[in-house]
Amino acid sequence: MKRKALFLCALIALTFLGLYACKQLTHTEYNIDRSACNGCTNCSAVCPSDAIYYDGNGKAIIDQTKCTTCGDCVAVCPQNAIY
Amino acid sequence: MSSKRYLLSLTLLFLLALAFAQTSYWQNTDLSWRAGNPDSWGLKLYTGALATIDEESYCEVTNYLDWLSPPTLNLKQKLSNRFAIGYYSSGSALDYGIAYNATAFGGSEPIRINYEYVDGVPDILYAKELRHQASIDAAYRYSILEASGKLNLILLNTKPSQLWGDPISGIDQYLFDNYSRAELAVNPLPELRIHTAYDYKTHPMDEEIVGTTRDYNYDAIELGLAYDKKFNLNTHLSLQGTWQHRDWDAMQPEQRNQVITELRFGHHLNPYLYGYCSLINRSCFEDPSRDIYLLSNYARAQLQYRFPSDETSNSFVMLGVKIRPANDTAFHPDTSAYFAELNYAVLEGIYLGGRVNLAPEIQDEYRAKITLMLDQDTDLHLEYVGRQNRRAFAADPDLKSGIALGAGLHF
Repeated sequence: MKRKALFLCALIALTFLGLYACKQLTHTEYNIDRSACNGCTNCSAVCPSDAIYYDGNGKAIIDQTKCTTCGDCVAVCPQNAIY
Repeated sequence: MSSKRYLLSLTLLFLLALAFAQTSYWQNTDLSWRAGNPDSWGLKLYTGALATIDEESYCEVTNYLDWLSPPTLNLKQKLSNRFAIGYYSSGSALDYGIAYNATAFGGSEPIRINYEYVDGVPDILYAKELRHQASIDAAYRYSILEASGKLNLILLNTKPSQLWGDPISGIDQYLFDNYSRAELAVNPLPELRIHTAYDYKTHPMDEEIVGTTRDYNYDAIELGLAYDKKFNLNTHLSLQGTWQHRDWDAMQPEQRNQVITELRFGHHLNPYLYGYCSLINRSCFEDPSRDIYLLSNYARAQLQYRFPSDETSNSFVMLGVKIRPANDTAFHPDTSAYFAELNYAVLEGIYLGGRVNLAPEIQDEYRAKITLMLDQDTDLHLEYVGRQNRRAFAADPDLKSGIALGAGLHF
């Protein structure tokens, strides 16, 4: 039980460390929260570099090698799932 | 056998399976009109059938047609029609799924795919015509061990052209992407999972014509630790930490190592009130002894209340917030959003609904909807959508408001 609590605390601490302690990069990446994606295909329909595809379960995935980080997909996501 | 006959045979086979299995069908239709200069008309048709073959397996066939003329909302085509067919099985030791989908595009705008500026080399644009995708997923469990694999093969048929409209010849009109993933996991405790995975993507390029040695291949190795626990049916906690070592040509050195931490927490406060929050952070570094950089982070909280007076559970109110601060030095907008939704039965079978989605640096959206439920599975609805663009640059100047008349049918 003590070990589990320690593990949970370490992960939470790591999350908050990531939020507040990092320097900002001159680049960003857009990703999709799989638990919020409903597979509506709005994002891939507006992608100007064809960087979004769908896995076998119909959830959208952004191919970072193609993505130009224009952010057009963010505006059309009805689930606010793109971050 | 030609590919068309092969596809036709597959379709007939699945339709035959659907005919003999326990099957449910659905059909959603929306006809819309959007104000603007010029005005545009749209049609969305979503049709599907799901056949339960036995307790462990089912197959699904869907067709989604999306037409908007002239295309606005930044759409890169006037028409897309996505046909998908899949078979999925879930057993005590083995889960697997095979799926195929084909998307036909009409009136496509030429876009830059795999673009890289190279001095003296013509800028090539591709208009999408037809995309084929085959997906295979499989997972096998033995005691506390699990091995799984995923494969997505995508073949995109395009019409290439040069930026200034010159005809182009000799370049391959087919773009092929192969995404694969292999994963090994161990579950020392029911709620604890440790995994390692390898992701690999290939994209063959015609180097002589494109004039660059850059490729669009990608590979990554991954190590992860996850804790997932449901407490007394009302509470769900999920924590995950993943390290990825990645490699692709256009990557900045700092992106080579990525650490992803995820926290999700959901709780039923009572049978009608449910809330959840999730927190995802992505940090990266080239060398762990030097600086760690923020790549992106995201926090989301949502609260939903279902009105007990409506036995169909279609009456609800939802409040949510998504916080996604910008990387200030990356010249990208803050994509945070604040949203609320209401759907309420004012009379038996008549619902009034509304949705507000405010994203201060992206766009504000307002929706109002009236729905007439003809029976439990059939509805007619009329919806108004209002939008206001908030983006500083004009990548999406044609966001428009409009109304849609639609019908849903499930049986």
